[in-house]
Amino acid sequence: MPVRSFSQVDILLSERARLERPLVLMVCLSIVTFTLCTENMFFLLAAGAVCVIRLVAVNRNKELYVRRAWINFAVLLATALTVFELFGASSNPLATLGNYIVLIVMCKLFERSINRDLVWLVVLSLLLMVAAAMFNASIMLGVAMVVYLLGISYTAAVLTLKTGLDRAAKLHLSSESAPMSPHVVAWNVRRQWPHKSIRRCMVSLLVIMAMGGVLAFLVTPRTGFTSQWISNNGNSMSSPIRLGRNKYVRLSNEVVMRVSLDIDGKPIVPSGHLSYLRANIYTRYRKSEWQPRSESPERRLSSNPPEGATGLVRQHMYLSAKTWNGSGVMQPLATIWPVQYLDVKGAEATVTDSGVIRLTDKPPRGEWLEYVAWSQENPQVHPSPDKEGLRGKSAMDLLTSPRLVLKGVSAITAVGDHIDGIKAPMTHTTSYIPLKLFDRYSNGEWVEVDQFKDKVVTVSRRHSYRRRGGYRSRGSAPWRRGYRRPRERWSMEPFMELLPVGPNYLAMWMGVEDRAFGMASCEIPPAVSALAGRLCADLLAMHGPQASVRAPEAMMRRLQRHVMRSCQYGFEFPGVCEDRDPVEDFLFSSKTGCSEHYASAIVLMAKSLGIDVRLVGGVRIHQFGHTQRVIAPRDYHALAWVEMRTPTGWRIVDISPPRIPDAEIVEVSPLVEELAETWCEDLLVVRDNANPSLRGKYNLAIASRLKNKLQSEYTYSLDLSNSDSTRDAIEDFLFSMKRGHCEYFASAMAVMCRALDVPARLVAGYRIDGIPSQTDHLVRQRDAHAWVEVYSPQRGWVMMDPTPAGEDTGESLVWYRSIAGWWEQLQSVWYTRVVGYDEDARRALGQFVSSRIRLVWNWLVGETRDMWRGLVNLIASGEVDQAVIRLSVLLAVVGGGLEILVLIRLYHRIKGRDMYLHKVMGKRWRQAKFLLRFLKLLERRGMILNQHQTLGQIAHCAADELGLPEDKLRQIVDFYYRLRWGGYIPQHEQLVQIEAVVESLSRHASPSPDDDSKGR
Amino acid sequence: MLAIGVLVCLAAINTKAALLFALFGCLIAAVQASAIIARRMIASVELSREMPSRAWQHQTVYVGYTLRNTRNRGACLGLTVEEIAPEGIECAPGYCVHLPAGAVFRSGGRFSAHKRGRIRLQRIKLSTLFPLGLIGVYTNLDQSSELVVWPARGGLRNNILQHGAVHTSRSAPSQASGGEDEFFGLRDYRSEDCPRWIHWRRSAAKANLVVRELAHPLPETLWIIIDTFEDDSTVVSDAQMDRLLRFAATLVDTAVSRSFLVGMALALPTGVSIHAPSNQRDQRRKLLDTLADIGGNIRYRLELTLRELDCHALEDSQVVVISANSSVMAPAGAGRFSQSCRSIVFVHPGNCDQFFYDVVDNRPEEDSCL
Repeated sequence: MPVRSFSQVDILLSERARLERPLVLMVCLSIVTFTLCTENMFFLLAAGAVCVIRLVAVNRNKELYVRRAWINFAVLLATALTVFELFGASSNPLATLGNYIVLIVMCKLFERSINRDLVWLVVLSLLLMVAAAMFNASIMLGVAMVVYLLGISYTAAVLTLKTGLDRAAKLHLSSESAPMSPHVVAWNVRRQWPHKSIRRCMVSLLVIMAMGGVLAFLVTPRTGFTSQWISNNGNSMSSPIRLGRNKYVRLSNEVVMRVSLDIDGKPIVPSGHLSYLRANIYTRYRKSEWQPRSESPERRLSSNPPEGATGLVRQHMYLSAKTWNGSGVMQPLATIWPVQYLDVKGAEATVTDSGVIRLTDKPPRGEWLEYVAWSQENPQVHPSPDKEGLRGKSAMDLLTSPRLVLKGVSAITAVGDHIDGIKAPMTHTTSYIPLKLFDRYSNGEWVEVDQFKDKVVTVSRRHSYRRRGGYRSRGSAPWRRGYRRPRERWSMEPFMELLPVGPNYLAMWMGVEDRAFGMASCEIPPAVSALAGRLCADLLAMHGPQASVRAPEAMMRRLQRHVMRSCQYGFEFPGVCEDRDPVEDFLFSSKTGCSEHYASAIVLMAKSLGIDVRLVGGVRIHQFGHTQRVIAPRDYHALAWVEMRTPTGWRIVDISPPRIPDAEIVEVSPLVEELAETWCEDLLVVRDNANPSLRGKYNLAIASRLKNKLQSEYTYSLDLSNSDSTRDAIEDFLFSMKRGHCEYFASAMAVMCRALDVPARLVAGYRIDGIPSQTDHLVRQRDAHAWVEVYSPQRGWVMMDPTPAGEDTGESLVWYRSIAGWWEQLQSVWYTRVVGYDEDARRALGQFVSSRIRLVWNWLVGETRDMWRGLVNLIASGEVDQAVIRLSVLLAVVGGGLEILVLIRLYHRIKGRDMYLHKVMGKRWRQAKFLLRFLKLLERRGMILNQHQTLGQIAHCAADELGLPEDKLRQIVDFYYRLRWGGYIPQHEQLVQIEAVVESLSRHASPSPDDDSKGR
Repeated sequence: MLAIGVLVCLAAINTKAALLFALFGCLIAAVQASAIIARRMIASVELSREMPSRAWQHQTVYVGYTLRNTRNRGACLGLTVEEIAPEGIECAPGYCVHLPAGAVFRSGGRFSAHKRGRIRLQRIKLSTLFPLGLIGVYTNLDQSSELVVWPARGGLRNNILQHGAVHTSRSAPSQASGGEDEFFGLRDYRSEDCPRWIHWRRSAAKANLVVRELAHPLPETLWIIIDTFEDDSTVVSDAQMDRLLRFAATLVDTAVSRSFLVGMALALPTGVSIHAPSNQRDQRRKLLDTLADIGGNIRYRLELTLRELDCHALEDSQVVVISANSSVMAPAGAGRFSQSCRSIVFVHPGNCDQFFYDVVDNRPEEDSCL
């Protein structure tokens, strides 16, 4: 490898180190930043070694270089590797291109350094920093970016000087045989490099750059970046939980709320279940995303419990306005302990069944919202429908008994068991399996059709997936490449498949098919009939008595739309009236019901219009991802729906959501399901063979097994850098990462429970550790947590937390923990304020700035007006008011400030000259004080002294402009030169004499009135 | 830089990364700041030019630029000073790496004139790329200067300038020789000789007294007569004419440097110009200025110039007649000079190479020499 010495220009630039060293350092910084962002240790080590070699060579004033042919070969090789990697492997193209740039930079570091290559090095290093910023947004990258900008600005400045000097030194005329020596071109920087001037320029440059950067950062409209980098813990509880997208979760110490709990006035410390504050419930999981549960209608609660009420837990809470999302507020403890009384200070609020509190108005920003909620004490049991005299019914009870009783049912608890003997080959579709047919209705009860005593299984395909160019049914994951997402089709297709379970099914079914379900068999409440008539009045008027034959579809659609819009689905009907027909009560009063209420209302209204409809009870099963799988429907699949006679047969009119609370669609990976079955194989066998009444107990045992397995075999971590976003997040967590945070643990447990037919759901909220000595407890963003609730028929929703404890650094490292906490806080501020700066923050900042400007302007205008009035009042009547006092104080402050500024400037001017004399004369500077007097004299006479003028030039100008005697000026100049340069040690008499000369000049210079008059 | 800015902008929009937006803003601000800083630097510099009034053709002329930073704070860096020169001028800019606040810096620029004559330099371009090399800011300053470009200097051959024989010799030095007397020899003492000049040392070795005798060379006189007539019948190119003028300029320069009294006669568009031989200081400048200004004579032929010359002025002088016309070998009126002058040489494009060669890059031009 050749070694060469530097050129004259390089040597002139102080042995090249001034340029080369910062340049190599900046290149090294960019490479290290990029490789750390991409976690490519090979490139990090290789580039680090190259940079070290280059720096050592620079420090020794030598340059190592490789012949250009080898450089070109290396670049070609790097290009080929990059192309191969881009097209051959499934790597990140940005990382590949960045690695290619790293290779090119490494090649260029071993190239002979001409100016063009140095410029290319600067450009490539800048591109590397840009690529790194596209990979990461950590605070360290921000620091590296600032350091890089500082260094690269200095490097660019020196490079600009060097380029200009090179150009001037290399250029020679045609009449010259050789270029001019750079030492001649830049003779003044040969010994004294202008580093101070360059640094001063850099300061102003960087200030402007920083202003530009901050301005662009603040005013550029952008959205959507926050969710990629910040976990949604605490910040967006109501939004979907997206797993696998965040590479790292930052913990913030921002305070969300203050909580104090007491029972009957006695403070209690949050512990156990009390330490979990619920915020949101997630029930639907698909493609690594949890969707929140749809909320029930809001209702108002009384603000205070009745006197003498006991056993109520009072939660006194201060919510930070930062946690408001504009539509509602998180409601801790609400679902476990339903809020029965609510008092929001200074605002009107409503609450939903699941406990979400909504305000009618958005609270003022920057203030705390205080509210008090009272709940029942027992946190572990779902509210029993039998309480307060309400009678509960099992969902399966409603369908398996000969009579479907609606009257007096105030809640559906979905207590029951699986339906024996029904097994159907399923596809990915939603299937309806009818079990009962009802045709007679009387006083809130439906009676089964006699002929249909056995069970018939009907499978109806509900979803079809359309491929481009035609329809095609697919098995699992039909929305893969080439397919569109499923399209909801509410109009039912004819039954596609009938599968026998019991004997003679077909004959019985056909017998039922032929039967007409007449109107006479039902006792329809008059109000229901009247409502149906009103809804279809125009159709009846148009078609007359034959309306039920001519337009049954339109009439059914109208009835169905009315019921779906006016009523709300629910499982509790607290406002039910025992003395009223349940369907009438459902339609006109409570407006809350389950599928039986919906179906009953539509059937009765349709029958009143003469439409041939019937009520069917059965199960509805959602299944995804598996083909030809045998399903044993569970109790929560039970459902009632409506069937209407058409010329082609009976058609389903489905009007109800799922039966059981939160038993919504969950997409389970086969691998996850297999793992769950492996973990709970023994319990599953026991559960399937056990008494149906014990299934709830075994469900809890299965959930507990899953929780223990997750806690023991998986690690808690906030670093998810090795996650694979292309894979299902839970599958990735369980089989690849084997580490994650609470959302992963809770999601895995909830999904595995669902795979094993254990009703479960995901809950997000806060977990706080109460301190016994405190009554108020601060809840911070870092306390955000997720856990699982498993449903048991006996105990309701039981909370389970599968997340293991995090790493503990130990008591001996308190200082480390404090530093780590401080660092996390800094990172949190960085991520929330800088990285998470989005459109809302920009708008809020704009509003804040404009409001402050308006405020200041109004204050100024008001103060000015007051002061003016006060001044007028003072002049007119001699009264001194507050405004005049403020004005005088203001004038005094401003005048004093100006005076201080003048004094400081004067002091610096005098001191500056003294310092200059002290610098050039050393200890003898007092001997030259006559010079200061002389210069002051000239300045008083109006002469402008420039820094570049020598004393002789100043004296010459003074003689010309002021007419001072040249001999005296010459005497002063000579005396100073002798002192300054001649090393002359004057006698005291000589100093007195020269002072006298200056004094005489002063007298000569002072303008007299006669001179002025003569001049005029 | 523009491409990088666009790239960063696209990356920022695509990724919505805050750092990239800030970086984009920094880049834009850097461009603006670079322009602002450079503009402030340029505006604070006072520039004046110092250059010679005469220069040889094809020779480097060094120009001094005095830059003064009028600001009390803030230095100027990377200043480039460049002549906005007319055609025929090749310039090399001056460069100032560092100009401290309130300081003066003298930067050196160079240029080379490829055409003889009078050249007027009007404007100077002061520019800088500092600090980042992204934005170049310049200003044009009016600084009027005139330069007379003499024809290029070459070399002479065949001893065209020959000193004549010693005219007189005496024992006493001449009054006006200025120290140019040379030792001629010894002779016997004569009665009229001054005893101060007796060579006592030699006299001691001989029987009689011996005195030193010194030679008194009279100043040589060179007359250069140039035929500047141009008309359609004259078949001569500009290059040939320029070469003859270069020969004349070289002859003038060499002759003056050898203490010749050089006179010149030529016709200008305004009339016949005769410069009598002189040993004054500015004689060389006058003659070379005249050579630089030659051109455009379509009225006065060589015969007219010769007619204007006085025969007595040419006595004992060397005469070089330069003409682009080969028929100058026998011009009317030239015959009367040949008897009075000591020698006469006719130079035309055909025989110019016998007496003159061009110098390229301060080296003899080999082709033309041979």
